[in-house]
Amino acid sequence: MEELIADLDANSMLKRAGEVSDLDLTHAALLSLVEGEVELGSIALQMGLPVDEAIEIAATLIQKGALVLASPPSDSRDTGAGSSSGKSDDERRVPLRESKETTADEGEEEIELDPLRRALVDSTYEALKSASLYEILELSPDADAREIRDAYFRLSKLFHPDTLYGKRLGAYREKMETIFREMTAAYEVLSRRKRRAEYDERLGEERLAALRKRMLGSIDAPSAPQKKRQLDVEARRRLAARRLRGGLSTGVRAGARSVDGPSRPRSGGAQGDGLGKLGDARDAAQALLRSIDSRNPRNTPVDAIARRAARAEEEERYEEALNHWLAIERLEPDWPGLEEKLDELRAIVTRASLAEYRTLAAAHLRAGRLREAALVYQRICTGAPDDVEAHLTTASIFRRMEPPDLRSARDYAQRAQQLDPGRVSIRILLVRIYADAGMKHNAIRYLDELLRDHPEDLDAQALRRELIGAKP
Amino acid sequence: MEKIIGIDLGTFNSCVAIVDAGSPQVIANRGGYKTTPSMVAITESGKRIVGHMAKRQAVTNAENTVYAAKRLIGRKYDSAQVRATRATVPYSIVEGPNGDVRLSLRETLYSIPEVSAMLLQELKLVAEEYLGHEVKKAVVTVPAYFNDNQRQATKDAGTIAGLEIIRIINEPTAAALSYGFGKNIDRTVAVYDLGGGTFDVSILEISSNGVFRVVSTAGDSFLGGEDFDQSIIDWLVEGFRDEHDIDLRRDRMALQRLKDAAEKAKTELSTLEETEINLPFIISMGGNEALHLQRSLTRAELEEMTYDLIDRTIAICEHTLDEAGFDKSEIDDLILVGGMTRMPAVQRAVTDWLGKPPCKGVHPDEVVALGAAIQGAALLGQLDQDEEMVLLDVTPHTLGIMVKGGYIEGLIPLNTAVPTSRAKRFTTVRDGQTTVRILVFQGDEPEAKDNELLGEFELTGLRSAPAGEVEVEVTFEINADGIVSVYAKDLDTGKAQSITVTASSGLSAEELKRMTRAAEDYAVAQKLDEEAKQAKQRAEETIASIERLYPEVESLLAGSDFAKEALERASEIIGEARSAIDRGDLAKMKETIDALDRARRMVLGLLGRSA
Ligand SMILES: Nc1ncnc2c1ncn2[C@@H]1O[C@H](COP(=O)(O)OP(=O)(O)OP(=O)(O)O)[C@@H](O)[C@H]1O
Ligand SMILES: [Mg+2]
Repeated sequence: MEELIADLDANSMLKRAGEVSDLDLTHAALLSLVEGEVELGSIALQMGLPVDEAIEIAATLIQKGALVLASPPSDSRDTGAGSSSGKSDDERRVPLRESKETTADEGEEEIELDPLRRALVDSTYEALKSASLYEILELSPDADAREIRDAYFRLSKLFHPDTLYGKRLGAYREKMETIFREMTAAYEVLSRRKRRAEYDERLGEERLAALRKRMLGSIDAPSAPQKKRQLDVEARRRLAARRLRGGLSTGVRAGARSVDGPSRPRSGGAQGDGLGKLGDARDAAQALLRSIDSRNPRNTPVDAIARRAARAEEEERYEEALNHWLAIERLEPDWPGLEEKLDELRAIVTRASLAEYRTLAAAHLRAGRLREAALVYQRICTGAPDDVEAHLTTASIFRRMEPPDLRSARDYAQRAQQLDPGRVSIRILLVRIYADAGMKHNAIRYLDELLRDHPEDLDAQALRRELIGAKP
Repeated sequence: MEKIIGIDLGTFNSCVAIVDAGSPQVIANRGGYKTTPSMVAITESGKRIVGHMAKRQAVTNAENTVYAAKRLIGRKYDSAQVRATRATVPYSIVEGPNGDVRLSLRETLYSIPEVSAMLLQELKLVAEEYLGHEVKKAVVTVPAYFNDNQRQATKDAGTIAGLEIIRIINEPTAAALSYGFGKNIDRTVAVYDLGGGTFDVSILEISSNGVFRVVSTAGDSFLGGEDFDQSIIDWLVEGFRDEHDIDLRRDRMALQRLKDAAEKAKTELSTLEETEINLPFIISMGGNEALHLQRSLTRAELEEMTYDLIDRTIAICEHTLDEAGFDKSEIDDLILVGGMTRMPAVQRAVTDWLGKPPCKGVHPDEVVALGAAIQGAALLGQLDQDEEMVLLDVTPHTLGIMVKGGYIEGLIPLNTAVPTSRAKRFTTVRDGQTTVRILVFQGDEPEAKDNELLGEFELTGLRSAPAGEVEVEVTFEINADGIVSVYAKDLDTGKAQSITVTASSGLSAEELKRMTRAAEDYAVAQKLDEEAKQAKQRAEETIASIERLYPEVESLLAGSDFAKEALERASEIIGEARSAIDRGDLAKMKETIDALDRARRMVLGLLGRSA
């Protein structure tokens, strides 16, 4: 390690070598900046790190086999030609090619995509399933033309597969293509005044219809969820039929969940999906209920709220139910079973929001808004108290943000360690947090424990040298 | 860093460019020209000549000089366009084994991709001479309106030429790329590209973060300067017939001269109001008699002859803008590309249509190649970080399949952003049916027969079951090159169906392989030839320089045995070299060059001088 560090300087050229797991955020961030051959100095600049620190991180990555030195510093480089070009496409194509089944079975292909970008693609791809056209472009429904255009162009540069031309992307290529296709479809609707108006109208209609149906359903058959669900299926079938008629070519199913006709609004969030719209629908429902209640003075407030809460829960609008119960808590804290109910609903709600939070967190990270990312990650950890990765990431973010929140970082790292006591990277992170906090003795003590368990671990060894060396 | 070149493979002129230290630039050929005529000729000795050299000898070798091959690429022999071309070109077009087109030049048949490959090889060479090392990768442009068969044939040309075409991009898109590159602008632009053989128009959005998005594109891959020339030729031929009752078209040499004269007149009329067309001895009448052709043509007359062509382009522009959903007022910049946009009537028509003058400072002959080079550098990650760009292009034609009644059912509509894919399910329509036949078309006409057949395939080995029970999912895909692929999956068994493909045009795999090998062999032979020529020259020069010293040696050292012996030895070596030259024996020539050098030093040594 020491030799490695001695070998590296700001002019060193780095190149990707292989995939490694077990990276903390800083390592992953550095790795994500290496595309083709990159000068270490420029990476340090981009990360806002002192060169020494970048050297150290790079050395770790080299040791882990994630990076290699592209060529000795200050050497002229004309050797690296053709290092990462894609598979040569010499298969002969007559106008129509034979089935490509083989590509699916090629098995474990090494993927040249850094962990951060992977996470971004994954979360965006997942979010597509239930997102509205606005959400796909990360826009609010009142975005103006300029914002829509900017968003589309910004995101295209992030997700168009050409930005990773020649890289082995495995399944990520298709995911990126799908994301790009969906974004383009969204842009094509939202960027045309007429089509956007049509879409907005339909989106509104569908929401309203879903809402009305929910209200009616609960009055008609309050205790027959089975039947109600049946109804939903019927309604959805009708809706689907309408969409198809509105679409261009009825028989055509777009690729992976792609838009198949012009201006097709996404589902109005009738069920637990479409979290963004769920919120809107919920607000509307509450408003409606409020107005009904105000016209009906016979209801005692708490009874009415409890009924509403029950109805909301039955219809799987858990967040709304939770809000109702919170209101009850304020009015009648002794309501029987309140405590348990609240716990149960809290758990359900956070779990349901996790996917949304992850997308949000990815967006914050992408934009470099660490503080916001940390807040969101905290909520993710609440919702997923057993998720090691989430805790580890949260801790890293707390440590990295400006100014760092080392206490929170330590708490989350400790929780992560509880969950996965053996993982070295977590323990190293803890040591670093202690060191950052100026608790050098603690840090070294922890580190020594770690070294006792893993005397061979290079990172730990390096860290120890660093800590000892840093001592005056 | 591996260099990648950008090539504008034009109907009339081709051009090659690179991005050098972050700045795109065109590479001039050996003659110092930035564009190379897209002409290929086969000489009497079977040698290929390309570019300016081919153009220079066109009149005397008209039947074996190919121009405008791009108008034939990827087309079927029995298409209207090929028929039209056959009537007007002096070289001979015959039907190929796959219903495609072959050219018969000096009794050898060449496919169009082979001819295009000769051009690509030449441009590759131009770049290599400039760069001083081999080039293996290229981005090549095609007219936006090219269909899949034409794109595929262009890719084949690259393969034959030993160039990996890593991406095919559309010409107007490339032009916009080079226009917006490094400018950091947010604009909506219209690109009007009228070249030698094709017309394209595209509407693009350029964003300051380096994203170039094509909104819509349209064109006519058989409308260009050629057709303007043709109007003039028709006028000349008819006039001549009225006067002399002779059809000049029947004489290939006369036709070639008419063509040259028509193009020259057209070009001149872009700056002059009137020009003379003067073709003495245009046709011989037997004996010593010959007829001459002499007429004058004014700009107004030319415009009168060709206004319908210009009108056609404007109608297409109108349609494209409509497709884009934009208002004329929303277009910020108008970019003119292609040699034909130098014609004042064309400039006027486009300016009138859009209500906006074209942008200045765009070089109509070079922007396309520059754009291709930029895209190449972008894909390989060779651009500066603040200049990184992405191109979002669209497919210019609807991709569909034939359904009952001979109609087309569209699967991927035109102006869909690529890459893209759509899946469609097919079911059996008869009880016990075990195969499904699918015909894939590209084009925007409602009836299948009016569109381009890309291919047909049969899904076979389906389970025999009642009608409608077996389902097959077929995925149609258009990649970033605009090239189509089709995959099928049998939903009944969940297994991928291997589909039987029948090539409908172009080259078969074996042909492509053979042609690639032939091109390599030719390149090797040519290299040896070149070496032999140089070796011969070196040897002859050295021989001459030795022989020049003989009289001096004789007068200075007359009679000395030593000198005599040396001269004899020298003569012996010269004799050997001469015989090697006569035999064309390259290895021996190279060997004797060394010996000759030694002999020369020896003789100089006799004279007390050093080499
Ligand atoms: N000054 C001029 N006035 C009129 N026409 C001209 C002038 N200069 C060139 N042309 C015409 O422009 C055409 C060639 O244009 P260009 O070189 O752009 O075509 P190309 O790129 O080879 O063709 P394409 O793009 O269609 O494949 C020829 O028909 C030529 O006669
Ligand atoms: Mg051109």
